[in-house]
Amino acid sequence: MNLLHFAPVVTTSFLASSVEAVEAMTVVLAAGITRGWKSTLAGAACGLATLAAIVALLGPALAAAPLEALQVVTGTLLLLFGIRWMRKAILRYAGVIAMRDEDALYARERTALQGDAAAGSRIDVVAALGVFKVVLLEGLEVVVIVIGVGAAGGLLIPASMGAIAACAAVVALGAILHRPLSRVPENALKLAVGTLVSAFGMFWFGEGVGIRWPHGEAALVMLVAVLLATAFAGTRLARWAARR
Amino acid sequence: MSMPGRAAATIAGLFIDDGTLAICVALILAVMGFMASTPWLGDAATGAAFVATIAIALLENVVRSAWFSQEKG
Repeated sequence: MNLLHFAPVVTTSFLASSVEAVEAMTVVLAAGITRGWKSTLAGAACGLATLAAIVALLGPALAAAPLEALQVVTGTLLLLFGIRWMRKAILRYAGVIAMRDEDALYARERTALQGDAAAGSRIDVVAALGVFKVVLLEGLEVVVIVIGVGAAGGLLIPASMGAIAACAAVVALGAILHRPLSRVPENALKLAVGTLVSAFGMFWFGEGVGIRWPHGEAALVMLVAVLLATAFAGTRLARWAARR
Repeated sequence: MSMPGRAAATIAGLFIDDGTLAICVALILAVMGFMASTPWLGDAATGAAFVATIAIALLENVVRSAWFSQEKG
């Protein structure tokens, strides 16, 4: 196994996980600063524990699944997941839907949490539940991506390392800056990740149903190129359609 | 909606934004699965058809979404 073999998996996992971690971090910071860190961290810890339980349950099932079935299932999920991100990024670039604004989301979360403030309780249930939900949901997306890009190719550990590195980097930056990571080019990242995840999805689904891609895993490069060209054309066409 | 229903909808929402695109992708996958299991087409032709239909489905969806957002707006 060489660097070229696992670099695409680690990169995809890292980029996708960093997008999810930035989204979760915005809510965690808003809750922590507005409602206090004790309940916020308790909610985040519960979310992470639930995720760990899900991974512990899924792990043995994945190990026992036949490779072709695993490739078809993870390929399908990755393609649905990736094409959803590509669609959203294309529509944002075309101006059809608004760009995601971490600063605005952070301000909205803080306002909502201030409005619901409940004094006197030892654990702030509103903050803890809000953070639990966002950590669990964004974490589930990370788990799907890690399993999707890693499991079918037997590269679960490199994929997990990419995800852990991304989450650690975002948490460290959030802890240092104490404000949302609004300078992260979220839409460009989303398009890049959507393209990579969709390419992996198509590749694994094809392998699972018996399509032998030309040049093996190098076909991923061709799939990424076609999807990027589609995204470029889609942005122009959507912009044209929106103006008519 | 009940709590399990809400949870299922939330999990489905991780994979589906636009129902028509998801259905379209599912149909393409079903057809590709069938095509790959028959000797009619070679791997190259099936792969090319797979890539082309996914690209066309995405293009059609974003153009339609932009078109209708304009009509509503």
